[in-house]
Amino acid sequence: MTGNGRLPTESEDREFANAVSAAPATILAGMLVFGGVGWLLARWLDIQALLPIFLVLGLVFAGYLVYVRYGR
Amino acid sequence: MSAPHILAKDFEAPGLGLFEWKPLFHIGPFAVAKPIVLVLLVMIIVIGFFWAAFSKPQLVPRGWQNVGEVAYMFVRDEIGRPFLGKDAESWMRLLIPVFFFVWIGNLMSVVPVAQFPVNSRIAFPLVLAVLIYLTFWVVGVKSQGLFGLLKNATMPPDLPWALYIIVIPIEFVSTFFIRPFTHAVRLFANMFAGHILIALFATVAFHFLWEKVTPLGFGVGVLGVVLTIVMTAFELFIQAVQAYVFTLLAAFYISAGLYSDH
Amino acid sequence: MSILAAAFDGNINPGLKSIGYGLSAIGPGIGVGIVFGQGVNAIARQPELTSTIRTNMLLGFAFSEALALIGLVAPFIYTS
Repeated sequence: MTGNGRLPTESEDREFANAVSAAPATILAGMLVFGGVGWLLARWLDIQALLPIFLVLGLVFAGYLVYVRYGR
Repeated sequence: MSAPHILAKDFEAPGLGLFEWKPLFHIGPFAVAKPIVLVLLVMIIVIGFFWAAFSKPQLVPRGWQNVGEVAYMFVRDEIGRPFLGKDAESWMRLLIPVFFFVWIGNLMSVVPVAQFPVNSRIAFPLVLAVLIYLTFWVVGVKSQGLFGLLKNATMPPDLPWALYIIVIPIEFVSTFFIRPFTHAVRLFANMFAGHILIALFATVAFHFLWEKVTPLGFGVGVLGVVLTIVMTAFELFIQAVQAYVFTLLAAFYISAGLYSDH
Repeated sequence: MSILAAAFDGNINPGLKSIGYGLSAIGPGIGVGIVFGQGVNAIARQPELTSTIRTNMLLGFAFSEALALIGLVAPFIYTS
C-alpha cells in the first residue's frame, strides 16, 4: 500500500477508525436492503425461496463493496 | 427430579420486570418514577460539578477547578482534537455534557440506593444519538451542501458506473440508518445486560444465603456474592469505556459531517 | 421430542432462536479476536508496514463479522 515505510499519518488513522465500524455496517446494510427487496418480491411473486437468495446476494455485494472501498 | 431442580425450586431469576417501575408521585397527569428522578439527579450533579469548577476560573486553579480542568482536557485532547482538529474547542459545549451525562448516568448502576443505570432505558441513549444525528445532518448540509453530503457519504470514487446503482442504496442505509441505530443500541445493550447480570448474581446470593439456607445451597450463595463483586468491578470498567466510545463516535460523526473524506 | 417436531414445522420456540444466535456468535467472536490480535502483533514487529497490515486486518475482520451478521439475520429467514 502507499503508506508503507513510515508510521501512519493522522488522516490514515482516522480512515482506519472509520473503516472498522463501517465494514460490518455496510455488510448489514447490504443484507437489509437486498433482504427487504427479496422479501417484497417473495410476497409479490409468492416464491418463498427469493428471500434467502436475495439476502446472500446482498451479502456478496456488500462484501465486494467493503473490499473495493476499504481494501485497497 | 434432579438435584439442581430440588436445589433451585423456589428461585426466580430476575427478568424484564427489573425495568418496570411504579410511579413514585404524580405531577398533574405525568407519572414520575425512579428513572426520571435519577436522570434529574444526574443532571444536577453534572451541572453542579462544572458550575463549582468553572464559575470563577483563576489562572492558578484552586479546589474544584483542578478536577474540572483534568476532565475538560481529557475530553478535548483524547476525543475532540483527533477528529475535530482546530475547531475542537467550540464543540466541547456539546461533547462534555454528553460524556459526563452518559458516564454518571451509567455510574448510577453501582451507587447504593439508586442502583439503576439510567442508560438501560432505551429512551435516554436514543435521544442522545438522535441529537448527534441531527447535528450531523445540519453541520453536513451547512458545510458540504445537501447534494455534496449525500454524494460524499454514498459514492466511493473510482467505480465502474454500473456498480453505483447497487452501491448507493447500500451505502445510504449504512451511513444514515445503521450508524445512529448502533450508536444508541451499543450503549443501551451494554447497560441493559450489565444491570441484569448484577441483579441476577445478587438475587442468587440473597436467595441461597438468606431466604432458603441449605447446606448445599450455601456454596452457591457464596459464589453469588463473589460474582456480584466481580461483576460490579467489571461494570465500573465497562461504564467508563462505553461513555468514552459513545462520545468518541459522536465526535467522529460530527467530523464526518464537517469534513468530507475524499 | 416436541421441540424436534416444532423445528420441522418452522414454528420453533423463540427462546431457542436466541440460544442459537448466542451459540453461533462464539465462532466469529474468537475469529475477530484472532484477526486483530495477530494484526497488532505484526504491527508491533514491523511498524513501517502498518498500512498493509491494517488493510488485511480490515478484510479479515469484515469476512469474520459477516458470519456473525448472517447468524443475526438467520432467524428471520427460517420463519418464512
